[in-house]
Formats: sequence, C-alpha cells, structure tokens
Amino acid sequence: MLQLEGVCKSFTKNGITREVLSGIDATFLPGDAVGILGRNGAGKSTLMRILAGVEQPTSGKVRRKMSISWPMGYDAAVHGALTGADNTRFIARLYDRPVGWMEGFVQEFSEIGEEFRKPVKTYSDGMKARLIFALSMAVDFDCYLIDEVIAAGDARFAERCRQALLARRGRSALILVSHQTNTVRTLCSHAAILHEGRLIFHEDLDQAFAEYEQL
Amino acid sequence: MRIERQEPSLLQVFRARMRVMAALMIRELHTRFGRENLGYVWLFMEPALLGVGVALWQWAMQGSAAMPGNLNKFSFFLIGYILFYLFRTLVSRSPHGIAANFQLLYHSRVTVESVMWARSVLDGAAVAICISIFLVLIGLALGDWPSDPLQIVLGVVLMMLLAHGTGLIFLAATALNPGIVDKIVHPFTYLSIPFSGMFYMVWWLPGSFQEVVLLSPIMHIMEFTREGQFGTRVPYTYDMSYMLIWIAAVNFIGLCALKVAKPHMEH
Repeated sequence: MLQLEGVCKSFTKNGITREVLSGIDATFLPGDAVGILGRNGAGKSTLMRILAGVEQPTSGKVRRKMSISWPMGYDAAVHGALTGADNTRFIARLYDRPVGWMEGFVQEFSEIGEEFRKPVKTYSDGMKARLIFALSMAVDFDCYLIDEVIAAGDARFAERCRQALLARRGRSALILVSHQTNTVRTLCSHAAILHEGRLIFHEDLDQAFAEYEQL
Repeated sequence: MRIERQEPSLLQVFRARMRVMAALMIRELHTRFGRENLGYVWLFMEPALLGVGVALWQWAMQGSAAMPGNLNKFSFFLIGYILFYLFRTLVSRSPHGIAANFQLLYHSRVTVESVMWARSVLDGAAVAICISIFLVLIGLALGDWPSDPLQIVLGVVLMMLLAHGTGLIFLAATALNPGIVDKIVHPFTYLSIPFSGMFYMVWWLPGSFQEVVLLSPIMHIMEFTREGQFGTRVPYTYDMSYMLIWIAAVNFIGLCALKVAKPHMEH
C-alpha cells in the first residue's frame, strides 16, 4: 500500500513561494493501475518524486508499505560514471537480488550487448532508458512509477515495455503520469486528474478523459 | 487482488538497513576512486601523504630538539594530523554530501541518513587502517609501538561520530540556507585547528589555557587517542563522559535539524 495524506509541496525561489501540490490524498493498492493526467506544469514530476521518496512533502504524510520503483522516465536512477554492470550490481545489492543472475537478466532484457561493460554516460538515450527499465523489471517491485517512458525510445522497445507492464498488472501496482490520454488507456484501469495542486480520481476512464480535455 | 504482508521484524529491518549501507559503501568506493590505476589505494594515500608531510615538516622545523616527555615525533604528529583530517574531511564534505549523490535518493530504500552514514563509516575505516599501517611501520623502524591499539581505534570511532553529527548539522543548515553555510564551514574547520590538539598536548599549556582548550571535544578525543599510543609516559587530560555528551548532542541536534530541513532539499 502507498498512501498520501494531505500532501503539500511548495518551492521557494528568490523569496517567492509557489505551491505545487496543495493537499493530496490518495491510496494505491497492489494491483491498481492508475493513470495520472496533468497538463505541463501541473506538478506531475513533483508528485512522482514525492511518491518515490526522492523529495519530502512540505507538509502531510506518505506511507509506504510496498516496494516502490524509482520514477521511470528520468535517468537519475543510474550513475553515469559507473558501467551498466556496476550499476546493476549496486541495485542488486540494494534490493537483495542475486548479483550474477541480475547481471545476466539485465544484459539480455536491455539488449545493450557489450556496451553493458562501459560507463553509462557513453550510452545513447535509448540505451539508457532500456537499461533502467530492465533494472526495474529485474528488481520486481510491488509498485511501478512511470513517467511517460513508453513514449520515449524506439517503437519496438516501447512495445516490449508495454507487454512487460501488462504482464504485471494485477500483481504489481502501476502509477503512470502522462499528459496524453492514449498511454493511460492502454495500461490503466482508472485515472486521476492533477489540476491546480489537487488530485481527483475517476473510476471511469472515459469520464476522466472527457474532463481532462475540458481543462 | 490484495496481497497482505506481515510487518517485518526488527531483525529483518536491521538486516535490510545493513544491506543498504554495504551497497552504498561499495558504490561510494567505485564512484570516488574508480578501479583503474591506483584506485582504492588513494583512499589511504590521501590522509597518509598529508600526515607524513606534516610529520616531516615538524621534524625538520624542530631539528634535534626533543619533544616534551620525549615522545616520538612521527607517531605524535601522524596521529594528530590524521585524526584531525578525519574530522575536517567529514565536516567540510557534508554540506554537499547529498547534492553530489542525489541519484541515490531515487531508490526509496536509500535515505539521506544512510548515505551520510556510509560516507562516515568508509572514511572512518580508511583513517583507522591508515593509522594502523603507519604505527606498524613506525614500530618496526623506530621501535615505538602503541601501548593500547584498541584505544587508538576507539579514538578514531569517537572522532568519526563527532564529525558525523557535526556534518549532519551543516548538511541541514545548507538545505535551509545554502548561501551562509558555505561561508561558515571552511572558517569553522580552520578555526578548529588550534582547538584540536593537532600540534600540542594539554599538559604543555599553562592552567588557564588548559581550561579553554578543554572546552573542545576534539581536544579530549585527541588526548584519549594519544594515550593509546604513548601509554603512561606522559599525563593526559580527557573526560569520557564529556566526549560522549558532545557526540550524543551533535548527533541528536543533527538528526532533528535534518528532519526540519528535508522538505527543503531539492534534487
């Protein structure tokens, strides 16, 4: 279970305080597949970082009772100076997975071949996205946070990501943030709209999309 | 479908924490030193070169003049310098300790506290190994063996804990006010040199000076550690409960300040 209670987040820059999230309540259970829709600047990335525990809310509570992935769609989960293999071993140790098995799995799933032994900073964006996705599949999280990763990268890998995530539906929770409705439709069972710092849930996808289009 | 989970036991939580710490320490070794050329050797070489430099310089400056109490100059200044190096390096690196490693926080198991602990333990271990190597070399070359090696190691641990707590306070202060802290941390580490006992011992000083320098917990730890090397040859002045109160206080204040500062940390 991943639960937010009255989560607020504001940033202060040059003496001006801007509230990005103003009181978010939400509960995500294993098996949920929720799409969070929001226009640019609605605070999607901030919400993602708070869900992942990268940042702490200014006020309110976050309770994590299941393992949560890093937010996918950023390359921050890996270190550029280390090789793909080094990053894999670090994550294997961190999440208590067999190191040798994980190296094999990630190298195969990500299809990056011998580049696996080279520093991540030499990778193309597509390779980096594949490595990060493969790492998250190897760890086998209870809850996946995804920030429009499906849209990035080549079409064939995007399709493999979609298949891998669909295969996990019902077992792992899936929280996808997006500003477009079609990715949400393929992967999610219900949707929520992030607008003006608040998150409103809709059981029915079509109703959510209709409301989102009106914003 | 609902998957009910049992609450993890205290032992399981502890094991998980230790696993995270071990992973962070291995990674810190990789990112800081790489595995090419000298690599990890630099972990020990950095304090060692500086320590030997200071010891040689002191030896050359004072020529043949004997140290008070006829102590061995090399072991005296090496312990003094390397122990203070541990304090200085942990404190001066702490304000940017998280900014340099913010990627780690993308893993929900990694907390700010665990990243700071991994760094402190790693540097503490490096300094303990470094001091041990030198004391063995000095023992072999000059016949000056430590009287209680365990006490020296304990001294390193105490210094690491003091520096860790102080570092947490500076880390929190940086998150709350980035501008001011950069201007304070470096003067702080330089100004603490005269109060560190790096170049002297308490009993060399007149009584009123003694009272002033003994306000500094670094001084107490330094005296305690030197006792581990030189034994009963000279008098030492330290108060174990004073050290422990300082260590507990800075760590407690540091953790509280970090709790306040966390919502202001941006990555």
